[in-house]
This record gives sequence, structure tokens and C-alpha cells, in this order.
Amino acid sequence: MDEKELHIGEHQEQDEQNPVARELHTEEFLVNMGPQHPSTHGVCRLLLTMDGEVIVKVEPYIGYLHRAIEKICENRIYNQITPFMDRFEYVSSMLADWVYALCVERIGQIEVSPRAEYLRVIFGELQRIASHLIYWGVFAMDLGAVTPFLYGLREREMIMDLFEETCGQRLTYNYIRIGGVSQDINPGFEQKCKKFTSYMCQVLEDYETLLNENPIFLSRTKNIGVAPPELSVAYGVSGPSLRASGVNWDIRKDDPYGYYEKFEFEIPQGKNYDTWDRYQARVIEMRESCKIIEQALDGLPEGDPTFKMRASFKLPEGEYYARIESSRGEMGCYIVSKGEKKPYRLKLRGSSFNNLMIIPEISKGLKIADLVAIFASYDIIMPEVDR
Amino acid sequence: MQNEQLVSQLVEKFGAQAEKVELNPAQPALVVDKSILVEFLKQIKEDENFKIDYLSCISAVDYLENGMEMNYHLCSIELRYKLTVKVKLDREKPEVPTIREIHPGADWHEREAWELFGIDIKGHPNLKTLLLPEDWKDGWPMRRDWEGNDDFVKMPEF
Amino acid sequence: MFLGIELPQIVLSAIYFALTLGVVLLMALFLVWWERKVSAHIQVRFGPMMTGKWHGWSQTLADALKLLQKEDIVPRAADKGVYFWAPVIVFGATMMTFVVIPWSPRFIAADLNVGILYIIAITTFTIISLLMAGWGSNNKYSLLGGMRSAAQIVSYEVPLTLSIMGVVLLAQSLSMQDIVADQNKFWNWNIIRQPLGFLVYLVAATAEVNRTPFDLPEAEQELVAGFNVEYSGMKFAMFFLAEFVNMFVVAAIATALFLGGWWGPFGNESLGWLWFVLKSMGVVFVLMWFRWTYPRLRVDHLMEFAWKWLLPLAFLNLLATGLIYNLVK
Repeated sequence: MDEKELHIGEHQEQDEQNPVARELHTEEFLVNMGPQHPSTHGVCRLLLTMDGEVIVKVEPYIGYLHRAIEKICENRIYNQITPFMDRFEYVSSMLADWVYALCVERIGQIEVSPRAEYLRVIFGELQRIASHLIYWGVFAMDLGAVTPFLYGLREREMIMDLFEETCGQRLTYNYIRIGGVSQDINPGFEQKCKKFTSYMCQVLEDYETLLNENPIFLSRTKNIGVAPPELSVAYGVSGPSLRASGVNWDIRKDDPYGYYEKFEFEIPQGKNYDTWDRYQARVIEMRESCKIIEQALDGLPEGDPTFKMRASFKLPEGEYYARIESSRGEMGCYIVSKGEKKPYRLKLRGSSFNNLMIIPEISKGLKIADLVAIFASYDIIMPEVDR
Repeated sequence: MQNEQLVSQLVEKFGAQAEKVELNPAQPALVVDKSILVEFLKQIKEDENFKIDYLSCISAVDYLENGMEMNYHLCSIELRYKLTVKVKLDREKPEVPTIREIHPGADWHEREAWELFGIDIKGHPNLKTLLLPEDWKDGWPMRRDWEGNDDFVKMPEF
Repeated sequence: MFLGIELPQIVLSAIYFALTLGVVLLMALFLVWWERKVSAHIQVRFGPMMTGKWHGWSQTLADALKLLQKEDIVPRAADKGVYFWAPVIVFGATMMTFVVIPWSPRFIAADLNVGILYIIAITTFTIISLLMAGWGSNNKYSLLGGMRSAAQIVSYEVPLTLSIMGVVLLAQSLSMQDIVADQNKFWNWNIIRQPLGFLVYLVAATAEVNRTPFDLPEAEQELVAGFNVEYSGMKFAMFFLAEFVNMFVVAAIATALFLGGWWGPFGNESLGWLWFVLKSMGVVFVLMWFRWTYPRLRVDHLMEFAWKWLLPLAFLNLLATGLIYNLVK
């Protein structure tokens, strides 16, 4: 509270030196944006100090979705934890399953069969497209264009169908398990998947014609919320948002996991570090993901992708910080095992956690509408922040 | 391998103050005394040979009678190094200096360590609850010996 | 003359106005349904399909009934008087404009000789009511919305009026009926004679009725619902209906001023009211199309656009019209 008052005081002092401002004395006011607000993507509360339409200060308050997953996981055996990972990040739960499985496998030195690794790549990339589709629609919707949201969901539905056919779930898959995946794909899946990727590439062109040349859209995104590379790295921003800041960093390439070394794909990088670049990075990434899926489907080896083990097993002693490139950035899982059936400590690192931290920094002095655009462009998903 | 070279170079440079821990070949780790933590992180960030400039995550762990530990998971964007820096803390009076000056992104991670583990972050200007309710008064919930409050139901043994 | 009975002008006007009101309220219900259908089809959906069997035709009726039955919630901190009168004024002001809408050569409540001036004056009431709603609710989002709408409507009123002036210049009259009568042939429609004026009018009118891409006062993603965030039940319904009626008003004015009013495409006078409604609906459809395609402008871009682009264009149009008119004459 003190800090806030101090800040307002400073501003008024500046006002007093300016004769016009002294004459027309204005006051800053506080706006509680959230926890129930249509564009905070869940339940985030941003306390805005506003000077008319201009933002003087943003202070995020989080924790409205805190479910103590880390504490719960300390009391669950390893196989019981995977479903919690689905809830940890429900917009790309496939990838959340993956990071947990990866961490346990690295500690326990568990071999994963090649077919399972390929399936993980296929489903992980499908999940990335699905998540980016939501991003695409929501981003346009936060700028006031409602229609793209419905288009994005239409394509996402096809991915959901592919998932449902394989693992029976549409949101919380529990598909990528420790040591493999829960079940093999159905016959005919490959054709359906290929049909989808070729369709997706076409649709992406439609998407680009719908928004990319719209002057209103451009004026709302270009040069708004510029995050220089040094700032992004310092704040631990990751994923497409970091690449949009001109940093060449993709965990799939730079700290490879799974079989990502075997696939060829490009990493888009931003030039202006603004909201537009963050949007564009994700659109390009969808196309690259299609490429990866096609390569993975072509090289899919035979074998059994599942892993047989006891429901309750003891993981050898050790600790590991596993990280993967989720659709929002670096998703991390740190497990300390004491050789018991349950993890001694499990820490989750959501990419939105750090991505949210930079928003107050870059949105000072902008309009409230820009804040909404920036918030949407970072693709903040609150369950990942609050855990 | 690359990572092993990094650790041996670091140990060489910092001598007795940085001690190597054998954990996982893919993840080199060092134990650093908390008195030199800030200086250490600053040097490895600025040194041309290391350039460890990216803080992924900070995890606190409570080892009960063996004290507490802060884990700083770092990496270098340019040189692709990975490094875990560990700081051992006294459980009776856990204290660690803030590293916000070097890695601004540590802000919330440190607040989280404070509110869930009771680790006092020296020099942090904004130590207030992050994930827990503002009026939380039931202690440090992520500590292993936390008894729980009235709402807490412990999972039966499996 | 009304149904063959000779009546004094004042009674005739009252009857026409009452008829208009009835038709317009029904029209508003229809427009809400239509908007939902248009948006749904643009977004590859169906929209309401269940209520009333045929394509959910009675959906808005059901919604209106629901809103009527809702509890009327007044925020404790609200300025009660201001809060109460805001929806009444916006609804009243919107309805008042229908006095001078020329549905057919004879069907007009009052053919004022200052018809256009009257419309411009009456629509300005909307600003007052939106400001009242924003201020009276005692909510920061409402206040921001109210301020935005005031700034926006005041700015866009200027190019709007100037774009109409071109038409007035050509017809040499401020009366609506005279202006319509002036456009007796298809090539005499003002959209052909005043294309720039029509464009400026359309853009400014979209801003006047607060529709996307100019829907800043109720920007859902920024201000939750803007000036009407605290309103519920019937008061909300009044704002909502007023918005749709307003949309029809600007479409009707566009029809009268630029699209030949009740003239049929072949210069026929018969079935004038049908042509009028059809043309207005066409303009309404364009407004809906805008809404479901464009993103929203930012508040400073909005002002820039009004003062740096629309206003000079409107002036240019007026100047060119005046020059050409004098040369031809």
C-alpha cells in the first residue's frame, strides 16, 4: 500500500510543475481487472492504477486457482500423479503429462520404446496446434473480433476427435504415461492424422487472410508491448513469446528430449519483439508442427508403445529437473525421489508463471486496450500459474 | 561432456566455495554457500565462458533434519549449458539473499518459497502471499512436518 | 387521409407515430433475432434453433419475457435518479427520431421543414444518457465506458453532420420528404451523386451507434460491458433494444438520404414503405457484417481517425459538392 501511495504522490508532483495539469487537477484511480473479467483467461486479478485510459501501474494478483497440486502429489504414488498433471495445464495437458513422465523416466533410467516416443511427438505436436488454435481465436477475440474464436475451435474439434479416438478423453487425456503411452493408436489413425495436417495447412492460409492484412488488427498489434530480448531473458519468458523477442531458443532443439533431434523444423524468430511478433510466432509454429507430425507419421516404427509395470513402484533415489517445450514455453518438473513410492518433493514450473511477470513491466504507459492485447498475446493460462 | 567441463571449470574457479554434487550425469549441480550466492550467480552470468543468464525455476526442498535447500535451475541461452545451483539452509532459521537484482524473474519464485516454506528472502521488497489467501495464518504448508489446518485431509496410505 | 376518413393533421400525426412505434418495437425484436442468425452463420454456427420451432423465431420474445421478469437490481452506491433515468432517456430519444422517418410518400408522422436538424439534435440525447448511465452506476468500468462514448459520439457527430450537408445542398431543403423526393431516378440517388458522403456517413454512423469496430463504450474484453455493466432486467433490455432500434434509425436515415428512400429502383412510387424497409434492412445487414468481421479500434486510434481522416474527407466532399452544384446550375 505504501509503495502505491508513494507512486501516486510522485506523479502528482510532476503534475504540479506543469501549469496546465495544475489547473486541471486529475487523480489516478484503481481498477480491479478481475478476478472475474472476460479477458483475464481464467481468474487472474490485475490491479491497475489508471490515469484516465492510460495505465500507470499493473500489479497482478494470482492464486485464485491454487489447488496445491504440489502438496497433493507428495501424498500420491507415481502413477496416480499423471491425472493431476492434466489439471495442472488443461489447455495442453498432453504436454504436461509428458514433462512429468520424462522427469520420472530420467530419474528411474526407464527406457521408452521408439514407437512410444514417436507417438509422444505426434500427440505432443497435435496438442501444440490445438493450444495455439485456442490462442489464435482468443487473441482475436480480445481485440474485439469474435468470429475467429469460433473458427479456431472448429479446427481444434478435429484434433479433439483424434485424441478421443485414441485415449477416450477430450481434455484431460492421461495418455502419456511413465515409460510409454497408455495405448496404441487405432488402425486408420495415420490416414486421418495426415488428412488433418494437410487440411490444417490450407486453413492456416485462410487464417492469415482473415487477420494479417486487416489495418485495425495491425494497428492494434504492431509496436505494442515491445519486449526486448534482454528483458525477456531476464524475466525468464519462454516459448514462442521468447522467440518473438528475437531469441533463438527452443528446448526441442537446444535441450532435446524425446526424438525431436530426428525431425526437421524451423524456429520462427521475431524482429520487432512486439505483440504482432508473438502472434505471428504461434501461427508459424502451427505450420511447423504440421511438418513434424507428417515426418513422425512417415517414420512411425512398429512395436509396443505401452510399458508394463506395477501400479505402485519404488523410484530409485535421485533428483532431476526435466523441461519440455510446451505450447506456452518451458514447462518444468522437478522431482526429488528418496527411493520411495511417492515423490519426496515435486515442483512444477509453468511457463505462464514467468510470462505473467513481465506484463507489468512492458505495459506501463499504454492504454487498457493494449494491456488486454498484451495479456492475450502472452497466452497466459491461469491453472499453470497458480498450480 | 559439455556439462561436465562446465562444472570442473566452475569448481576450479571458485575453489572451496563451490562444491560439486553427483546427481545425474545430464544435470550438473553445485552446492554454493549462501554468503557468495549472489556474487556467484553474477559472475557466471557475466563471464564470457559461461553466460548462464536464464533462470528456469527455483525450488525449495525441505529435508527435515538435514535442513532445507534452495535449488536454482539455470541455463545459458547462447551456450546451451545447464546448471543447478544448490544452497543449503539451516532449518531453524532459513535465510537466503534475494537474486532479483541478477534475475528479475526470480521475484515470484522467491515469494513462493517464502510463503510455502517460510524461507526468509533477505532483501526482497515485496514479501507477501502469492498463491495462498492474503489472510493465511496456518504456517508453512509445503514443509514436510506441516500438520495441516482444519480443512486438511491426509491421503490414506496406498 | 387515414383509412378513408378525413382527420386533422395532429391526429393523423399521432396515429402515424403510434403505428411507427409499434412497428419499430417489433422490428427491434426481429433485429435481435436476425443479428444472432447473421452472426451465427458468419461463424459457421446455426444460432437459435429451438424456441418456436422454425429457426428459433421466438427466441428474442422469450428473452424479452425473461428480462421483464427479472429482479430490478440497483447498486447501493448508485446515484438512483441518474441511474433510473438513463435507460428511459436513451429509449425515448431513439423513439423520437422516428417522427421524421419517411416510410412512404404520405406515411410520415411529421414532415418537419427542419427534419434533418431535428434528427441530429435528437440523436445527441444518446450521449447524455450514456454519460448518465456511466456516472450513475458508480462503477469504474461504467464510467470509462460513458466517457468513451461521450468522446466518441461528440467526435463523430461532426463528420456525420458534414456528410449530410452535401445531401442537403443538393436537395436545397432540410425536410426529409423533400430530400427523398429529390432522388426520383436511380442515377439521382445520393449514393451515386455523393459516394464519398455516403462512405463518411456510414462510418460515422457505425461509430454513432457504438457498433464494432467502434464499440469501445461497451468493449466487452476491456470494460466488461462498459456503461451498462450495472444494469439488469428491464433497464438492461431498454439499453439493448435502444441499441438495435438505433441501428435501424441510422440505416433508415441512410436510406432516406442516400439510397433513394421510398423510391423503387425503377422510379416507382408504389409500395414505397416496402422498398424503404428493404433498403434499411440491407444497410442494417452491412452493419452486422462489420460487427462480426472486424476487430475493435483503440480509443486514441478512434479519435485520430475521426479528426484526421473523416473530418477532412467530409469537408472535401462538401466543398466539391458546392463547387459542382454551382457550376452545373
